[in-house]
Amino acid sequence: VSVISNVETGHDDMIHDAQMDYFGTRLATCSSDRSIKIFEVKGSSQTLIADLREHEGPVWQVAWAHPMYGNILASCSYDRKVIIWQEDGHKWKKIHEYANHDSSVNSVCWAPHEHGLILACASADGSVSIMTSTAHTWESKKITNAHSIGCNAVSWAPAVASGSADGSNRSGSAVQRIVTGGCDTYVKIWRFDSTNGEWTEESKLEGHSDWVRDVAWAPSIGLPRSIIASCSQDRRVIIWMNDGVTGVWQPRELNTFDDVIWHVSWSVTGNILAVSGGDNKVSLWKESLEGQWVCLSDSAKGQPASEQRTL
Amino acid sequence: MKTVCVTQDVPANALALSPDNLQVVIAGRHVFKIFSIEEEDLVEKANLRAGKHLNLNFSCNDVVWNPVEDSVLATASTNGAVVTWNLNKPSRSKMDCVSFHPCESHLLISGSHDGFMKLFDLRRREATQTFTSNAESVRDVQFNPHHSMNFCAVSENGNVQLWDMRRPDRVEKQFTAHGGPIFALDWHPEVKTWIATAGRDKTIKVWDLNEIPTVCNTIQTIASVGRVKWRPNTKYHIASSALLWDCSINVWDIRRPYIPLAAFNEHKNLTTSICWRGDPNSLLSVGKDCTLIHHSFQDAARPMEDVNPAALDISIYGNISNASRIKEDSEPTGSLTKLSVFRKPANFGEHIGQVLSSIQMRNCEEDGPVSTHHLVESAKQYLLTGRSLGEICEHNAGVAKKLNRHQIALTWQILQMLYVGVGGGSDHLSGHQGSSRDDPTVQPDTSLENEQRSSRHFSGGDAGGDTSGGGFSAEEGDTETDDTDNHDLKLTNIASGMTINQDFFFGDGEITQIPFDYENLSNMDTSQDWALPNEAFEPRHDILQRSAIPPQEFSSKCSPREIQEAGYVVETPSLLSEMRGTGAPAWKCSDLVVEMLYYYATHGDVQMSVTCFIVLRDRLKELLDADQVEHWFISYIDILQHLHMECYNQVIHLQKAFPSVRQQNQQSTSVTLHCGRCNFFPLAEQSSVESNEHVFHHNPRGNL
Repeated sequence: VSVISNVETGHDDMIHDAQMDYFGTRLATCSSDRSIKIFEVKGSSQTLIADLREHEGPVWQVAWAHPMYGNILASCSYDRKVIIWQEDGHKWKKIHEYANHDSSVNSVCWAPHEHGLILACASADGSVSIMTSTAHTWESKKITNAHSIGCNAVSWAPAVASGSADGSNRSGSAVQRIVTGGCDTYVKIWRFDSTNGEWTEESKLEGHSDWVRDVAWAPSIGLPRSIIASCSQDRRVIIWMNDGVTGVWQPRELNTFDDVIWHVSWSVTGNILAVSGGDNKVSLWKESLEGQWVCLSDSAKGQPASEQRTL
Repeated sequence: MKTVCVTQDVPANALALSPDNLQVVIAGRHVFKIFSIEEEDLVEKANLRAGKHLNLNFSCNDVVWNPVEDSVLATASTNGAVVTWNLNKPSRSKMDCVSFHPCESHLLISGSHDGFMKLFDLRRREATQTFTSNAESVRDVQFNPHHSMNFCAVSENGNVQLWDMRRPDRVEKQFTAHGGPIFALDWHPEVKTWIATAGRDKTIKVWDLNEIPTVCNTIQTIASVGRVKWRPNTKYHIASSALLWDCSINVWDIRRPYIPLAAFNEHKNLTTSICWRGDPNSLLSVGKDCTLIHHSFQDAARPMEDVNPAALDISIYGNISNASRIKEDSEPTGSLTKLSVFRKPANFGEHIGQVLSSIQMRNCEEDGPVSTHHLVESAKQYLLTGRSLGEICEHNAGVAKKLNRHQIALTWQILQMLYVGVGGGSDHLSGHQGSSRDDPTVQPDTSLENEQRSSRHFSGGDAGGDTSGGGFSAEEGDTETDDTDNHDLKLTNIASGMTINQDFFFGDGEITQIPFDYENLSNMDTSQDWALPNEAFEPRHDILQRSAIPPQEFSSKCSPREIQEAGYVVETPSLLSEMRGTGAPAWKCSDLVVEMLYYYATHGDVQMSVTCFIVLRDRLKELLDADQVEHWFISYIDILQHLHMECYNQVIHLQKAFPSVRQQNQQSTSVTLHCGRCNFFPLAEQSSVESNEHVFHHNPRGNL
């Protein structure tokens, strides 16, 4: 991972999130200066195509929806609002605003498109809202008290095809699950029970000793097992694996880093994890044959970490 | 002193500190009390409402403590009266918001809802001066602490007026500060020309009152601001509380106007008034939740510190975008301009300036670990149907080799070997001989040989690798006719019983004697070449895969045959043609192939699993879990969708190959073909034929 080009965003303050869309052609960035900027990315050049300013406080995260719904972007901010934007022609407009949280909304994540157009929002007031869109109206459901001090991150499980992964579920509809990480150091998994329409806590994973900053559920690659990566202010990244048979999540610590880890992100094929930390380094990790996680490359060193390969 | 909270029965609207900062008075509609600020607690000292004269004069909107005489308070009552209190005995006048003169203890200015400001001399009973502003109601008025003859008033029409006390007829300066009503103002305690104003437009503005008042800083908050108070001893910090919706008290650094430096969240309802206790670390406040709270600055929440300074994302093409905070290594200097960038100091202190981030896009190389270049190219170029199995495998192996995916190439060749056999079909003799060279490395006849070969693999040495690597690539695929003699010697032949007139030995000594050994070596070394940069663990798997085969199985199956064949010298041609036709390997390798498919899926290469399955489907169908395969198909189609239309011709192959996938395609919206370029959403019920057409209108060179 090498050729680096700098993106001139023109933001006036710190950038909190940068996400690429489904096709990898657009980049959305959001910043403390309350604006969201969208760039068209081609090779190593980027051009600004939109500047969205509706939030009244720093914008923490943006998330692209699946293109089958059109070009839709969600953003969440310190001003306790979640705004959903849609591109119409070449203009972006706000199609929905959700202001039902009592505190800053820290994270938003779209559900896999198989479930429909659904957005999960995690807030510093400790609750998680799930907003579902049906025919241009939005309904929401809240998981109150998801995490005691506040919720920092939310991620959806991939929609698994009926019967192939979750051996117990052969009825045909994919199970909706999300994973959340919060300030109470826990990583929790929630499952939607379609019989009573409620979200219930399915697992509570303990392993971190400080605020969990980001959680990411790995894309499904055709196996019954599920993998979640979580990173925390205790400078560790933990990989949680569930083999799909026993229902137990096994933790494995990826590494202890030198500084707080802010983000973890899976590649689309789901087997390479990118980790970015406070030391401004990005490293790539992959599971080796023995089940150990090895570092493929480290931006600080600039070349593959050859000495770490275990054979 | 720590954070302390005292709860009343009723809310208070205003508070003020005594000049010595040891006492605080709180006043509201139904409350009027004085507290003494002790070491650990706030102790109620006096309840000024408890008296015989309980009338509306006692319900207060604002209260101030005389800065000089510590026994004199003044309140502005809801009935329009300004009541001054001598803590010994009360007296009265009439108004709304009040401010004492900083030095002359008998002078008091107040502003009222009818737009007038009146100056009172406490020694007399009526107003000495009246100042008329053309504004609507005056919401706040305050004497200038640096020029005692001046005071400032803000009103509901957004105007700020500066008056000289001695000139009641004419406003000295007037300007429009905000788009809506201004609710609060505060003179800066140190910088003589700075004043902060805030109002309904949710902004706090800092003005420099020079010849022409100009805005130095603007802070955008999330709700209408009701009160602002500069923090003592710090030049750039100001506290604010909101009128609506936001119950917390925020302390802002005006140089970083987007996010508060500190926030006090103890109030459960709106904060009505705030006041610094002469000390940057102590803040007192009252709120609608009926509490009086003493806040300690060290206990404040720090929104600035908790924010996420980094961003990360991987795109489908393997590009990584990463945003990170720009860190300056230099020490903060005393003078801070707007454009300076500083590292966050360890002690949460005063030197915070503008913070910037930079975003970097890391484009990975084509061979890099996250790249999907090979996936795209393979998807475009692979053959899945339409030719004989051998040709397909051959072609795909060639494609993989060109993409430097040697293990994939090897796998295709193995498959060809397993199901077609060396020399199987006319393919082989017509010149596609590249694949046959590699067979021996795959088909072991003894595990012992495996281990030797594997040790050779690793100890192969780079020197051998270079030359053979060169040799290997030069012969890419089709051009080695020099192998014709040797192909019969390949172990696969031996294993499948196609060997003709060759003597050989089983055992340790074998490798060194058989001439084709060198080609094996060269193959392995070449593999090792590419293994070094990134895909280090793959060759290991190959070995594992091979060694998983129990040796007995082979020898038992192969040896009788081989012995049988060894004798048939003359009848070779017919035998050869016979054996060619079988296509079925001599040993049950299907399980192994299935294992291989699972292996690829596990390690993220679902393309390989899917394409191998399509190519081999009849042979493998019964061995694979249909749901699992369906899942692979769906995952693969999803990845192809990420990569856009060019690869969609593959999807047609997939649909044809796996009817249930096509069915699912039709039923669920999840696998619809979405043309990202022309926003066409095919209906879920469309048959695959129609989708084909649509695919082709973007990709004329369809590969069917």
